[in-house]
Amino acid sequence: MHHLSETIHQEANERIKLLLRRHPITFIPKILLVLILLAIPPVFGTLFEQGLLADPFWGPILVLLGSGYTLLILTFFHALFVDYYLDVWVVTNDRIIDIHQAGLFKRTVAELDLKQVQDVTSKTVGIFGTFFDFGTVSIQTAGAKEKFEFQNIPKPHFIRSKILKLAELDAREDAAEAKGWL
Amino acid sequence: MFSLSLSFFVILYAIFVVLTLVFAAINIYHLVSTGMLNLLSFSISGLVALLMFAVIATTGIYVSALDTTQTFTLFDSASVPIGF
Repeated sequence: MHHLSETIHQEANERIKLLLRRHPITFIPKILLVLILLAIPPVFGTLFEQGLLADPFWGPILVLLGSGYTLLILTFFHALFVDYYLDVWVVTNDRIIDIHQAGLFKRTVAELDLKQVQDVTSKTVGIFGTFFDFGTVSIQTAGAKEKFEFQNIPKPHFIRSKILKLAELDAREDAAEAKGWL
Repeated sequence: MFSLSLSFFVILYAIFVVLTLVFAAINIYHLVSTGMLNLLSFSISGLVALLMFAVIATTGIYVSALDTTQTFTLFDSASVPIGF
């Protein structure tokens, strides 16, 4: 079976320090939406039990439509989950990797060396963000992609300090290595 | 005269079932290929697969008890007035 280390092409001396996803609470509205959508066929069936559903021809067609609709919603839910679960940010002792799954057939992978980190800011917004401690971490870079953003991740302020510490450690290691060369 | 048989709708449904199963397989493939298949993702995928199987099986049992040869006439040319 495939492992995350293969996906990010992990180097021998590289260690994964953080694996971040959006806070699970951000997925709850989607679960509620799917539950409401799944409730439509049974409600419709109860309301029209004596009407169209009792018809010998249209009744079976409506049952097939309801079944197809339920399958569609289940597939939609699975796709939403995969989209949520595959959107990850991996922080190693050397770099930050942003894996973004957009729908079923599009995946973007961007990475940033910790040496290029210039500024890290974290913010929590709103009642839910404050109560459940999730928010956004923005990383200003000196690279081609100017800004890295971890959206709706848990404990954003802790993550900010952790990234800054890792960037500092990486810079120190590089300085020590350079000294060894001289 | 233009009439539709119930079996036509059953075939359409079967094609749709195959398509949803293909999409489910693609979703699981994504989880496996990115190394993200763990207890949580496996449980959610298993639950979705189980629910899909239950829906398909229930519909299959329902359809097997039906007379799929019955037809519905959408347009009967014999009933159209000559001067129309």
